[in-house]
Amino acid sequence: MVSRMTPLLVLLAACGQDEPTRPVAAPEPDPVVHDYEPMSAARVLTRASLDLRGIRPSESELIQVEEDPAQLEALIDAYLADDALEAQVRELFTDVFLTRTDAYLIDVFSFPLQPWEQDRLQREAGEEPVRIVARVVAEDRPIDEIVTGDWTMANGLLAKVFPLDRPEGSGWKVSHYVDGRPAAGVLATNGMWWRYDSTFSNANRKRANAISKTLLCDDYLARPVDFDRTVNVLDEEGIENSLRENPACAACHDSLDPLASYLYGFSWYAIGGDEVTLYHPSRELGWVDRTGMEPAYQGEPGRTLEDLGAQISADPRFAQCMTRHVTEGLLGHEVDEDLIGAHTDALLANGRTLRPAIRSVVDSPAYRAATDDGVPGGATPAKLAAPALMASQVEALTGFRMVDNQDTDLLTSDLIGYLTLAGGADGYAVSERADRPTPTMLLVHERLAESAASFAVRTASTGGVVPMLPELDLAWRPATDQQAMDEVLTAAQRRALGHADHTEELLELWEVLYGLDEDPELAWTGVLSAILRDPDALLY
Amino acid sequence: MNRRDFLRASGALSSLLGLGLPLHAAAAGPSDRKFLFVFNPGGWDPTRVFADAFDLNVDMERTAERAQVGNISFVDHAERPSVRAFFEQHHARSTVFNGMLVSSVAHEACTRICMTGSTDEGRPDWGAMLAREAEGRLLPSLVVAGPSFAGPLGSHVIRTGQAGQLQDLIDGSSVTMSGGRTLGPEAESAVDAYLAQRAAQGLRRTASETRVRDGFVDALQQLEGLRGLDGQFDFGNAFAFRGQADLAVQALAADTSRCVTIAHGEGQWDTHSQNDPTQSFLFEQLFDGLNYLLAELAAAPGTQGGTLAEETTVVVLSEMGRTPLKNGDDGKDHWPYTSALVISDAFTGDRVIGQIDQGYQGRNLDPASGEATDGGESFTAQMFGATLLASAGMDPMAEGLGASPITGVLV
Repeated sequence: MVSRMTPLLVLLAACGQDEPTRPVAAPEPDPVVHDYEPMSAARVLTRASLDLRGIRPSESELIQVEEDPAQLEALIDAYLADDALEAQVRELFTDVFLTRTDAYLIDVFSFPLQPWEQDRLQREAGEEPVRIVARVVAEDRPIDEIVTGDWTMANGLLAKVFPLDRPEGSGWKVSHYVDGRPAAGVLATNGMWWRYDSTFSNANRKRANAISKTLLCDDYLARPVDFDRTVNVLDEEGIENSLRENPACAACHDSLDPLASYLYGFSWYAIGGDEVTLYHPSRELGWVDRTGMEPAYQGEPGRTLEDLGAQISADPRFAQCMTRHVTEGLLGHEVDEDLIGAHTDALLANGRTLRPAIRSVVDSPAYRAATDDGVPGGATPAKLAAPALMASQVEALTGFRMVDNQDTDLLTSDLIGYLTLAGGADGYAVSERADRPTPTMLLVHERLAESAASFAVRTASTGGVVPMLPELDLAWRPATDQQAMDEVLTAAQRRALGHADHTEELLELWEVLYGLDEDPELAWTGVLSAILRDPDALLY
Repeated sequence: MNRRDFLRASGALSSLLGLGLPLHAAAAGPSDRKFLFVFNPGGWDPTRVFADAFDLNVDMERTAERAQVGNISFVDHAERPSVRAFFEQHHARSTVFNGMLVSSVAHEACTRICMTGSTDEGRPDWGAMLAREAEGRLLPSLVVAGPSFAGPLGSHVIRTGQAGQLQDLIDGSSVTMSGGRTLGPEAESAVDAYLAQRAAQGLRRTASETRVRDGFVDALQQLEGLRGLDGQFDFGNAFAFRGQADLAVQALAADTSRCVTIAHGEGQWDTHSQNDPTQSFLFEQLFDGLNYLLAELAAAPGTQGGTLAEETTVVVLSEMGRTPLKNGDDGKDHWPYTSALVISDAFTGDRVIGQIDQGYQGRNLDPASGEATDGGESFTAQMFGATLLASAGMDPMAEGLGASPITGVLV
């Protein structure tokens, strides 16, 4: 009788036979010289500025590269050194860690917080791990600190609830847990394990896979699954025996379960209070009774999360994976293994820091090509602004940010804001960003643009400063003040889009809008919102 | 361009959208079938309603009983009167699917497999695929609650937001709340027309550039219609199941949507402890809600001359099942076989498809008949999805599905 193998049971039981450890190719220079047509220097500058700073280039920067394209590289260097890079890295890794979900299976009422702080806590706890990564990048620390650092990042609200030694003051600060947890960077953060919780029966396997997926780019759940139907899995004993003895099961669980065994210090018996805020050293040996699998990483034994952090940082896949995240984040699409080799090289050759890898990606043909021709894997000519990027560039242009009364950015929240409607991922119901425009994305942009344009017109027409508007007088009319209006529209386009090719059409639009109700504020709000909603503001 | 040109351009855009006209021309056939997905996140325990496992090595409720209405056997319990009421009233149109394999026990993976048939992140869900065929509808796949995997079909999927935020966007209160002003319909149309021109002018030098810029044009064409829904729907009041059901019925009756996804029991189905009271409570709530939903569908006129109930396939599912035996916390853990319930005139109905074997695993099926067999094919979520697509006149093979539809259950 032929044994029937039916697809079944990931984590609980089975996985494919693939050897999980990938051999690491020695970095070598790409021997192929690629001929490709680059984008204009101004366009590369715009893309780099948005990716590295979250804002568009200034008028003077655009003029610099238009007059002398050789200035491009120095300006990109300056962008890479800009403090704004930290926020951009944070947004990039938010899509990787998926910890900023606005909600956890945590009893927030168990903490001594005001009601308005409870929602904020759930939102901001998820920032903790990605802010660690962002600081590592911003301060040119070796990536190893992501998994070995003895510090975390916290704001005042987290410090109210978590056992932290945090300096006084507002904002996010380097802080230290004081509950005896191991020094293990993101591996020892509450934010990570609130998002990736576990149950007794799951035995931290979900968490172990989160580590493997985010830090090693190896998702156990993506492996082919086969299960021998003859195996008894009706009870817990039968399942545990299968995980150890059945080759199809053991292919994954032999490495996954020992990884999971490092995480028992984050075991909880309740979903609130100290149970979920404190690390529990006394529970580190919980694996003994649960799976019996000693903590180990790819067969190398360890004891604590500190050991695990050291093991991960020593694994070449970690550096490759961090480079992959940066590469795919900047290019906006998945890339093949051979495309990240040079960028990983840059990381390894520069003290294992990510900034040189970022520069390497920005220098690559895939980032700069105007067409697909001659570019391995294709060029990246039309990137779609993520919700956070749309928010930051509109704020830089108009001074307006769409927030609620608790100062929560509505473009990056899904619980009360428009994150998924604008094409973002919430980590649960929507796990990847949209890669092409959607109707609700354009609706969010429209309302953001209308709000920002209203604000800008009111501000500029009363003498306030609006970056995209040099000046504005609501008394201007085309018949008598066309030159002034042309200058404003030209400046606004240059600032918002990098070009000013449509001044005439925008002035015509102004006249149409003014003709509806003879309301100059409406007409200006309309044309500014049209500029902010331009396809070139969304696609870059 | 003068004002007249602008308004003409706006008119042209409106014509594209069919504004002011019926949003979808009436036609008969499977291609007009509507779908309403009721997703139950967390993993339900099929043995509390769908899967009669009294004769297997399964922890059944001691006070539950085997029951049968028509040809449908189910698990009856005094604390779940709505379940019995449901089958008594709707068994003739109901098909229960048991032993459906989802090939994982992780929520995220199971949800994706259950809704798309695959772990492939680029694959759209059943609702998006069905909605793609719904030309002219403003909200082709409306996701009120529950998961959504749009894949490349993002322009066909409209989410309302966790708190119904779509309402704020449509009625413009998202702008006025921040002290701004909306432009109003005429001005918005004029700006849209300008943007449509701009999008048409954009460079398309590569495949991806073309894809994204064309996506902009497509989405822009739907935008004016979206704003035009102000006052027609209340997206901001669809939190409880009945509110979600009301919105779903409204969208299907107006023919603005081909598919609507709603959800029940957010997170509560994941009963690693206290399995029985929680599952029982949730199933009772769910079937009470389904009874309400089906009554509303029956009371609403359809777009083909009958009732909306006759035109709509209701698909009730959960991403995974639960282990046959209880754990130490009186709970049940994840299990890769689940059940589904379909209420539809496109299915033969009054039937239970799929069987559970002695090991509490699903048996293979003969797709032609729907009967359990030792040969046949594994009954997977992909086979289930292929069946849904086939019921709508779509070719599952052409959609890249490797599984056969269960033609034996289709009318």
